[in-house]
Amino acid sequence: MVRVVCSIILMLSVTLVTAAPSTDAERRLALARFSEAAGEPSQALAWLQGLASPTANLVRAKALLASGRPEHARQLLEALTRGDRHRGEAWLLLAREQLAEQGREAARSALQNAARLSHGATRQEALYHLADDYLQQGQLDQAGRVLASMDDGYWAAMGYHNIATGYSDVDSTSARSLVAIRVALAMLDGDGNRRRAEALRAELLLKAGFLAYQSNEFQKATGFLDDVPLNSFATPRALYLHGLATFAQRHYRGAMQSWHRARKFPLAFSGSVDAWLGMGRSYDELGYLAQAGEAYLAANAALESEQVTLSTLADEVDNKGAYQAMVLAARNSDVEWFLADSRTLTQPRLAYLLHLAKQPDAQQAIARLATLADLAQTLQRHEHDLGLFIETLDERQRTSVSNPTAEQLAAQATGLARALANLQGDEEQASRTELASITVQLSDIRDSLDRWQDRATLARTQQARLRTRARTLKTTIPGLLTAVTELQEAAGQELDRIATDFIEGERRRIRLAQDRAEQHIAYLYEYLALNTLERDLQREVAE
Amino acid sequence: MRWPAPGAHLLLGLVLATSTPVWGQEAFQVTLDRDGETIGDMRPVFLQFESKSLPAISPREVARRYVRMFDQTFDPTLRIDALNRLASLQDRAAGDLQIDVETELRLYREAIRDYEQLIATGESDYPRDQLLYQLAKAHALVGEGERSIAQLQRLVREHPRSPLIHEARFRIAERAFALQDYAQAEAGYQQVIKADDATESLKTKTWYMLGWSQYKQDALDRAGDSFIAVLDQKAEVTDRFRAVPDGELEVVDDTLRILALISARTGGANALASRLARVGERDYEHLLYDRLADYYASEGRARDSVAAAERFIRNQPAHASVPALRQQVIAVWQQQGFTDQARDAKADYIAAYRDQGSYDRLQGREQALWQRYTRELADYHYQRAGTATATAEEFARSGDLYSLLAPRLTDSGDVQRLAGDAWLQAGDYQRALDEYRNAGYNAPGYNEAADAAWAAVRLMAEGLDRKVALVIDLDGYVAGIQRFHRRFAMDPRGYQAFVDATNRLLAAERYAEALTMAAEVSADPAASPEDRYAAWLAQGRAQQGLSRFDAAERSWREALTMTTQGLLTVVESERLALVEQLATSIYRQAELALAADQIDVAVAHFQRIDSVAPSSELAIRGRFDAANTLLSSERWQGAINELIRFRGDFPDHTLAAQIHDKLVYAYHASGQPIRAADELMAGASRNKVPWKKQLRAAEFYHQGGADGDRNRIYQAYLATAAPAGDEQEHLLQQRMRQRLISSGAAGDTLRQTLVARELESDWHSEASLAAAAEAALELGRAAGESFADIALVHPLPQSLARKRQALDRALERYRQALRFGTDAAGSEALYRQAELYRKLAADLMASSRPDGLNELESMQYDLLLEEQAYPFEEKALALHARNHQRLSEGYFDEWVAQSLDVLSRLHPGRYQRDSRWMAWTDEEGGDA
Repeated sequence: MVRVVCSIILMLSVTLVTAAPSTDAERRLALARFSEAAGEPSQALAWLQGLASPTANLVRAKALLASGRPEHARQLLEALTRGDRHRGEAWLLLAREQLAEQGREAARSALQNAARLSHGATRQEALYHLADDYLQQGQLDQAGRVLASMDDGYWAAMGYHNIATGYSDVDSTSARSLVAIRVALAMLDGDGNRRRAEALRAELLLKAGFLAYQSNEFQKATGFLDDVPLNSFATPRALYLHGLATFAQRHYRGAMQSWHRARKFPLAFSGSVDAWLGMGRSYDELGYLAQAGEAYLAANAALESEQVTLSTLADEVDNKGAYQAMVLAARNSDVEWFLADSRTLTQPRLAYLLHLAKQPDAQQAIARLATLADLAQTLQRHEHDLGLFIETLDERQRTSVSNPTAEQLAAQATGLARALANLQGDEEQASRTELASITVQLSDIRDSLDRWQDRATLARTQQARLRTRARTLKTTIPGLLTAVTELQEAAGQELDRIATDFIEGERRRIRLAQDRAEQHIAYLYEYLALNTLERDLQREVAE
Repeated sequence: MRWPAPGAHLLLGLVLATSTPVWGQEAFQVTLDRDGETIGDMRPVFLQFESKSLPAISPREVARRYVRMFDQTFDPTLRIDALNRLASLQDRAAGDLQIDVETELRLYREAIRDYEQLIATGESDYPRDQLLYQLAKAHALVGEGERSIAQLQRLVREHPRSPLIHEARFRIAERAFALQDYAQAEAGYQQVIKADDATESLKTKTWYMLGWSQYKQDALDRAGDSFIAVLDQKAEVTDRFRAVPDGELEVVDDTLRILALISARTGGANALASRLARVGERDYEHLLYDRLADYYASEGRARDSVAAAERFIRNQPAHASVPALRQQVIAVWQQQGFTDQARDAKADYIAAYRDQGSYDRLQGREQALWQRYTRELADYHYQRAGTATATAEEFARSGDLYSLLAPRLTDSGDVQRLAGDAWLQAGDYQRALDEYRNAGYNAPGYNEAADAAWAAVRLMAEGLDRKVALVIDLDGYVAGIQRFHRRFAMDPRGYQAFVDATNRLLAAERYAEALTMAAEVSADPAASPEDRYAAWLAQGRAQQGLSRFDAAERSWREALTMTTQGLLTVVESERLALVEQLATSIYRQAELALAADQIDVAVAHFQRIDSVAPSSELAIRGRFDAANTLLSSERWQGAINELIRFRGDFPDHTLAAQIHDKLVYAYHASGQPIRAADELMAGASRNKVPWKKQLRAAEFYHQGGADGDRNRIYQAYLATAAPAGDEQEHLLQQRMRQRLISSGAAGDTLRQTLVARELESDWHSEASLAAAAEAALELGRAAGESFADIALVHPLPQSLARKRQALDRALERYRQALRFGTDAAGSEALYRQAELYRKLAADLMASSRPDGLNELESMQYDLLLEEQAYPFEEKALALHARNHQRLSEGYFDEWVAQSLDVLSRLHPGRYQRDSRWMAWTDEEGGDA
């Protein structure tokens, strides 16, 4: 076993050795790519300073895009499209930019170029966008043809997911849509990113279940939904739908199993809310009217409690800001919130955060705030580091003025040389050779000492320069920090607005669910009252 | 049933304990308390279901909740839903929700905003057209008519395909109607009516309003057609107006009223008929005519009213409403004082439902009315018959009505009897009879039923006696009487009738029925003694007629008992006749027993006649028949005793003459031939020519072994009898001779006579031939003995001549015997003839030699003798051979054997063979 591990390590090291950039430029480029991919565009740009290769320009363009400087990026990308390397990637990036800024029509040509000139994931993404463009135009056949030309993988799966939606909009039956979903599921096998594939698979199954349910193919619906994992983001909705399909087959108890499970998810998930009401309906259908009523009342109580949670959250957002109240608080709960595991799915606050984060603007706002926070932190660290640096320079300055070290060293060298001469009396051949070596070394030391004097002088000059620069830098940091803080505030306010709106929306949603629960209770009461009325009437007739 | 393998439990246990598969992948695994990866694998949880009591909720509380929901929710869809529910609840709970008008108006007013919002945003589950319609309704409810119409017009404009468009158009037209713009309204209504997909109920409403809008414009024709359309549709939904809900009642009534008004204004019944002819027939036309008739009646226009009703009656006489219309006609006539017309109308009414089918289709009330009218009219004719000239016709008319009425009444007796009376007086006796019967038997609870039924019986009797023209037979009469008696068992008239019927039946030889009827009277202590006596007599006759003589005997005895007990008095001759009937019945029983081979019973019956009718001729005959019965049944001794007793008791009776023969027969048959012979001899003494009986007696003596008595008769007879003149006589005499010879009472003389008579006679019988052969043989033997006794002595020719004579005599007898031809006699005769010859030959050879012959002479003498004897021996051999020859003819007896013996001795080479019968052994066979 040990041997095996060793050989793996050996192989890795060999790989590393072969992959390792051989020059400083290459090293920096690699570091830049890493930083860019890790969401640190400024760092990437720093590494790229002075590099002008097409690859460097591509990375630069990406970093510029990520740091909100699309104009600069566009210039670089356009230049790349005219070159002979990274043309496809450049076209795709341009297309993305155009899609975001100018719309589909503007991006169409860029996408076509990207598809034509690239390969691999880039080409697949380009084709996906092209197919989506056709879909948006209602040209389903064209879209289908594009999708048919795609390789297996995430993008093809996404494309088929979208076309399934397109079919369901125009078709009276779900047959074509379901075939598309099945193709999407098959395409997904080619995706190397397992987690991403699983998430999309759950969404696809949910979609398939929904389509089958819509066309009253309940058994087929449950067939799809059965395969949805219990810990995906789609699970609550899938469970609710699963319950609905089972309910539609008059298997009320089975439906209740699904809804009971869905109820365990926070009410932030719409499926969960509906499942609470579904339990009441099931009891009603099974003839347990009292339990139906209790279920609706329980739903109402749960919804009421959720209102309190939302109210508290709203207050906290009000008081501490959304970032603090939601994002940081979630972090404090010792959970890696971005890992969508089942734990996060069962925590109300996290659930809301996840839902909030599903909104692109909210996601952007949170990311912005996180970046700003990091920036502020970096600035503070730099300020602190600069302080220390300045202090160290000052100290060096002070100590180098009365430095006895050189003379002492020379004296020591002389002493050593003498001692050496004395030693030469005890001559053993081996020792003599060794001693000769030491003598050479001593000679070298002496030469070094001579050169050191020059360097000390140069260093003092440099230190002075550095001290000056550090001081200058340090003085700029508070300004920068102020700017970051201001930006943080603005971004925080933006996030607060979004969060407040979101929470308000959620409150309305919960409120609506409460009203629906009330509505069901009222229906139930109406039924009881009318029954009583009818019984009384019959009794009167009988009497 | 298979037990589970013990390993299964072990396996499961281990798996549960270790949670790891022990036996590899095939092993059964149980995973507990572990959730699955997917929804399909999800571990189910236990959900509790329990029935709990439900809270008592009042509609009021529910309404309060809906109001609260409306007030509290921000979602317009929910608010509208709450409002709709509230409205529906209000309908169901009949307004008992305690929601004041202000609140309701407030809710609708506020809902207007919701509708508007939903219409504007399109975010609703409700279709937009529905929202517009509801908005219009809300506006209308809060009193904003114009706005409501505006919304409806918007609906019409923006949703031309909406299913609500027709309702909307209707409302718009309604608005025009309300504003008295009838032409505009009419146009609006027309639009709704023209729509194919408008609901029927809406169309009906629209037709109705269309009719009104046209009526208001004085367009009566158009209006009439529209109202007809309304009725058409109402008819569809009200089961042809048979089930008109309260909500529809007013509209239907109003439509009919306005149609009557339109008809009256445009020409009455004719106008209505014209309209119907134009628009086509309707199955509710009666309502239209009825309403028109009502209208005229209310206006005091009787003739118009009647004309309207009759118009319909004439058109559809079978319609269910016609009875009511007819009644209406009668009522109208009566109210206006037209009595005769009213009576005619009643007669029409009666006639219309005369047949049962039509009557059955009438309602209960109509039937009661029909009954009332019929009774009135029947009574009217009955009373009128007393005064009218056409009495019979009036009675017949009355009878007809009563007859018609009666079966339709629950208490019909009185009417049926009246019908009977009426028909009787009208001379229709069959119908009279039917009605009397109906009154008598088919009218439960009718007090005078017995009289009515008796009237029927009397009428039948008169019919049977051809006094009235009523076709009735005896069966009918009897059935009628029985029916009367069954129903009115206590009525004494029943017994008389029974006796009468019984006598009629006896006369018709219908004994069984007569018997049944008579038995019923005789068994009933309530019947008078005279009736019962008559009944017993009738039963006696009937039983005799049926050959049930034992029962007849009982009946006669019962009748006799009644006379002896003094229950009634009869004259002696009648009593004697009764006794004779009784004796006859016993005699008949004896005959029957005899026929059934019940000898003792028969004899007992014959003998007991004497006890019921002593010394009567029938009693004597009974005694004689008893003896005869015993005789014919071979009860010899009993018969002999009875015969001797009878001869002793009635020696002079003509029947006594037959006793002698019967006794002879009885003695003979019972193996007492001597007594029979004695009886015969006693009888013979009284005869002039006694031989016949004496010979019979001789035969009986012969049978009884009284040979002396027999021989005496034979000897006396043979002594006086002439030679036989016929075969019978010849054979008789020969038999007598034979018997006399056999019994030793006669000798060779009689034998010779016997042989001689047989030889002379042309008539033979085997017995006579045998007797004659035997007699000849006997004579031959005697002659043979004489022959043998003659010794051949010197001088031989003399002795030989004598011997030859003796031989010839003997041979002659044997030849006679041979002539009689019987086998036994034949073989003996042959044998003896042969032996005679052999004897002669032997005697010749043994004859004495003349004295003094020398040896040569002696030898020559012997040779001479041998020559003489030899032919005799040859003859003897030939005769024996003939006898022997009989073997080949299948005959063998001792004489044949002896001949054979002789032959074997005389001719051993030929006849003595060491022969033996071949024994049949099974050695060669084996499968025998």
